[in-house]
Amino acid sequence: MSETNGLPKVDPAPVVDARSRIDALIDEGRCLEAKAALAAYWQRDSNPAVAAFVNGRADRIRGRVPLVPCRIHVLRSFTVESAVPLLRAQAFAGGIDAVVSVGEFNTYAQDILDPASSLYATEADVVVLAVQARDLCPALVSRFADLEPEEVRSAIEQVVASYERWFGAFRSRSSAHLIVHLLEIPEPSHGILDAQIEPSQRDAITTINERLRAACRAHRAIYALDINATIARRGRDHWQDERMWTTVRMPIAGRELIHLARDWARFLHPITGRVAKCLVCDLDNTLWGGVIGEDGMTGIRLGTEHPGAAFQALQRVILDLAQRGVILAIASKNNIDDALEVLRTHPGMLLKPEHFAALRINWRDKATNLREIAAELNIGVDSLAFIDDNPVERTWVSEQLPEVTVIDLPTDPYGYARALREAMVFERLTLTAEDRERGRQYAEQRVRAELQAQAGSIEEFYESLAQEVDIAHVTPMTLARVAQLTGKTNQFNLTTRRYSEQQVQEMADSPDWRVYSIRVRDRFGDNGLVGVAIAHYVREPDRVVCELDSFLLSCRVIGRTVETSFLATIIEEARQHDATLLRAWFLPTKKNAPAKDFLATQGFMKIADADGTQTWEFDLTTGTIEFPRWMRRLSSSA
Amino acid sequence: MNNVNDQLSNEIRRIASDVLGVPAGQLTDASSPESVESWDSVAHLSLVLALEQAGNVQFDPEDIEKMRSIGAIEAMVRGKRGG
Repeated sequence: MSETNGLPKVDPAPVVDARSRIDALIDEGRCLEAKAALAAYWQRDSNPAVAAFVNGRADRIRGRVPLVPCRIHVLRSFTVESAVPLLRAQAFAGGIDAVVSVGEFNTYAQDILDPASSLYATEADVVVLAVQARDLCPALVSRFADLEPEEVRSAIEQVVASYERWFGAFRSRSSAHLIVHLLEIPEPSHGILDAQIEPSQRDAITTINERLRAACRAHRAIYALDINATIARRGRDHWQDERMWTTVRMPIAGRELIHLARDWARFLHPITGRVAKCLVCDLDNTLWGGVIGEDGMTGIRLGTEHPGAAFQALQRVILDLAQRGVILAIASKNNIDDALEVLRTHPGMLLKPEHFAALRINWRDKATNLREIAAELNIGVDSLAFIDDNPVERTWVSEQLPEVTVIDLPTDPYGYARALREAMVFERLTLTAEDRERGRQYAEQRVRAELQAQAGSIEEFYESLAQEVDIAHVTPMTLARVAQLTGKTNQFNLTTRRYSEQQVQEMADSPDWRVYSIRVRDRFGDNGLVGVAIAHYVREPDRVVCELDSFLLSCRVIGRTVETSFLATIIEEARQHDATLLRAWFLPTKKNAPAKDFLATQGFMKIADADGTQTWEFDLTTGTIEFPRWMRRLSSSA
Repeated sequence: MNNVNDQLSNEIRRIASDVLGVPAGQLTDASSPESVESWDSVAHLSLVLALEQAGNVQFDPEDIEKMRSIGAIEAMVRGKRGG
């Protein structure tokens, strides 16, 4: 190809190959493979032309591949349309079907304040408020040198008051998630003088941003997007495009738009539940440099100095993920004694054996080991992410288990830490006490499983656990965790209804609804808040019915009668409300088979089964469900 | 037309086809916002950005105004690439 005249920088042949291969897969109806190939093509080359291709092909296979739907509405003060195809392609690659609408220029305030606006008509799941400082408070950006300190302070107050008013109005009218762009820090009007004066121009915007973050925290499901972090990383000189700004109101350079789209997509993962719960780590040349079986304890590279620093940096990121509630596991082809010796004794190791909830250190293939790890931890294979320096292992796992998130690593180990830190499946928007404790709880679970293997009868095992449950109505303290559980519990979940904090709060406030949480403790430790039930009292002409809108428990407490104790407590309260019937549903999904037999085993009768909905009833006038005698109730909601 | 020009021409039509959602075979030198329904101002900007990044070139606002047909786009890209 020509150096001067050809359009593509790379040989076009592989591009055409990738595209025709994808088209062939779609034509043959191999949609899952087509989706994986589209995602790989996008990750390799995230530009607008590829986005257009990916989105076009996504339209052809939509409905035939698993995608989480998500409607997004963007309120804005600048041109964002060119970022929309990039967002859709990025979301698609992450398993999210993003449908995006965009508000009119600079109508965001009236759209938020007017209950009849197009904003609320879209019924979006996620709303983005993308407003620039130079549109909202132009004086603070371009005329700062003209302002007296008092005028600066009053401009700050005005901006913050506007946002607070918008947040309040939005929250009262919509339960959608709201992502708010913080304001960009401008180039100082005063040069180096800005850093010497009070208030400085930088302080003015920073103060607004700090108060905006506080305003976000004061509301449920309103989140701040730190656009300055992205601008800093990319460099403002590259980020801005003044020519495009003044001609088409697009302030961001075309080739930087992908980073805005990724910022948005980053939020969609925790919002839609497209997250990984567990990171499975390779050992040799991933957690440390070299091969322990060949190089030995003194030969592997791991520490604060080059070249071991790259691996220690990766371990620090993995520890950060553990603090965020990600479970850790190991899948390594190694002699177990060699590997454990490093984990226990190497001075450069930040990660210790107790950080890992499951270990598969053997010579079997990694896909088999990953399947076993998922089974041992009671989570779906699609909740796993996998990190390995070896591209052959990554490809093998991708092909065998396409539902696993395989972290793509660069060849340079110094790039490992960032590659993992940027993996969107580990993004979270809330951090509960349970999240921080999760690693320890899973380690305790390993010991519990060993005990079960030793116990004689199942009842002996239950007794030996010395379980205590604390069943309570939802409180402001537990609201975030309750909503989080409805959002991410897939397996032991009768109806898989997802609720935002806002929606849970509305039910909790209603006299006809009861939202319960359950906390479980046993002799090994505190499992934390692990289950949610939502009851809805319905008055029928001749009776009161207690309907079980939702009933879900974390899989790590299933199979030891916690579920029965929960249901028994709900029934006690239902009787106090004169309910004579308990009605429940089982809505089968691909993942909730563990809950399939629950209602039958508790004595419910199936009265209807149509269109994927099973309706079950339990007659409270003739039967009851006993609270298991081997369990202790700490405090009851009743 | 030599092989290099064919490649350039095909590449532009491929990108325009993806961005505008029109089969590449239906695009001619004369295709323009007037004749292609999906070619509105939003699509025009997306097309320009896609061409910029695929070709590692940059267009000025004046250029973008002139790129109002496939033929005009091809001439502009060729000019930018010094060909």
